[in-house]
Amino acid sequence: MDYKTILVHADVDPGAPERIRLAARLARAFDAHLVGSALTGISRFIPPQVIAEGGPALAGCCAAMRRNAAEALQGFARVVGEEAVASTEERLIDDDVDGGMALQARYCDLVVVGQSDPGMPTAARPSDLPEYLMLNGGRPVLVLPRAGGPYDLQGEALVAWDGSVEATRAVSGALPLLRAARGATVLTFDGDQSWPSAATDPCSLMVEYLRRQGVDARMGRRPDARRIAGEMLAEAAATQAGLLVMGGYGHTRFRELLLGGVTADILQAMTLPVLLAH
Amino acid sequence: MYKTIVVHVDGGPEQDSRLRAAAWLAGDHGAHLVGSAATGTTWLDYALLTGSMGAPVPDPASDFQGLRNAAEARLEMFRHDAARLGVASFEARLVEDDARYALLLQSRYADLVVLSQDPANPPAPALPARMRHLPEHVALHGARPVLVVPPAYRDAPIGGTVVAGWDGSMQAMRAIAAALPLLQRADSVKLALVNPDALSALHGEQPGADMALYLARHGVAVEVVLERTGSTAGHALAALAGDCGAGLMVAGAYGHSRYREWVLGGATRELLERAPVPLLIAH
Repeated sequence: MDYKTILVHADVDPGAPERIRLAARLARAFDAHLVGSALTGISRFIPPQVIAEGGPALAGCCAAMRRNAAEALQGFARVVGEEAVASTEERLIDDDVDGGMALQARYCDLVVVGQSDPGMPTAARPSDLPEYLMLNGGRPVLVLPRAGGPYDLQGEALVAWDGSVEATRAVSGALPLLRAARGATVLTFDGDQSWPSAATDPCSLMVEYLRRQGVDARMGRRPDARRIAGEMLAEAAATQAGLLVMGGYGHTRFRELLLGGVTADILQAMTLPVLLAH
Repeated sequence: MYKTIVVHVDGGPEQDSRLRAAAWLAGDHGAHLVGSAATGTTWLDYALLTGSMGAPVPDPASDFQGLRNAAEARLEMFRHDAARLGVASFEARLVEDDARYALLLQSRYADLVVLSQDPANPPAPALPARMRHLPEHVALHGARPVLVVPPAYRDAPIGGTVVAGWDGSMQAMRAIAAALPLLQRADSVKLALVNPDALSALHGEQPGADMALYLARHGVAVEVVLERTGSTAGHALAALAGDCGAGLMVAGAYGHSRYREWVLGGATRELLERAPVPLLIAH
């Protein structure tokens, strides 16, 4: 399966042009339709007459939110024009960003969003957009780091593999990107464990699976570590990886809240594009 | 494209139809076929067996050898059958646990799992409880799509006309996305919406239009079919498949809670028991 419909979040964030450019290049590479979606942040559950009768302050606030979204779409149009994407679409939607994006995610193969900035959540940019989309959109989410580009998805890729359902979904959702990458390292943190045979060793099984799918995959077994997220990012830096593929929230959120979790750590400290699925 | 397909090897009466379906798909997609057999003994069995005072402690190395030999013999039959059915690349894997665990383990490294419909009237002696409802167990606990093959299947093409159920749910979406390699090869795909007005919140203004467009962009020859019927969704989908001579059905599994399905009956159970053609499910 290739990506044939790609959804990118358009907003007025400084990182937006880079994000849209990457989505545009992916759309061109996979001959996919690109949807740029700007959400105003005005909840769709507010009836229009409430805004109409809400007085000038509310109307002015709503107008400003719509202006922001329209400006974001102008930015989208400019970048896709520069990148000469064949088939594109702009959507301006009155809805919350997270819920509105999740509804549209259903009809696409990949969602591209930016890493959130926990320091400054706004209505147009909630602090947990990547997590929300991963949990409620049902599609793989490509999160781009706040630090910005340039991004290199055609270089090395890193697949964090723990055998979970979430990681399995991430791998299937990332296959087109992994095939396009120069090579992929399957990273497992079980190096001090011995498996009875190759037929039960998760790392070598995943490498075989990926090779059959046309990915140039190799094993990367590491000993169990205390701070997995840090190890993963260090490995990504060491191999100069341009993409990290991982399942998100394999453990319950409550456990992650108490014990800390790899997903939350990565989403906070990521330095490279991360493809997540739940 | 499916590149790795896992098929359940239990030596039962339905195995022939299941292997034929798996072999047909492996041939059509150029996929590697993995036959998965299990000894059927879990660590829980072992713990229960040895948990009482004075019970002789079985030696896992020697006392379970009979089970291993039996599973190995089934895998030998699988190798023989796979070669006879013309599968180019295959392997047999033995897991020392029950079949549900073995299949979930292998499914992680495969694009599709091929299983059989539960027999409508379980033969005596009945299957042990943990062997029943295998398709839904693998679909609900694993991340891969499951192809459920009816016992009557002989080498018919798995494709031609395909009936895909669409109710806007996350499960149906996963099933359709996972079935894309099959849908792209099909002559025509009927995207079937049963009583879409009753669930209008999950569809857009024009039920089915968004999903049809998504599929068309993947090169699928899709046609939206609206079924307004008084009968159940499962029945309506099966009837539609019969009417148009479909070679495959696609459906999300358990979009509703199991409790609701148990009380009200559900499309999933109905289809799992009596889909007339191979059925692809995902959760």
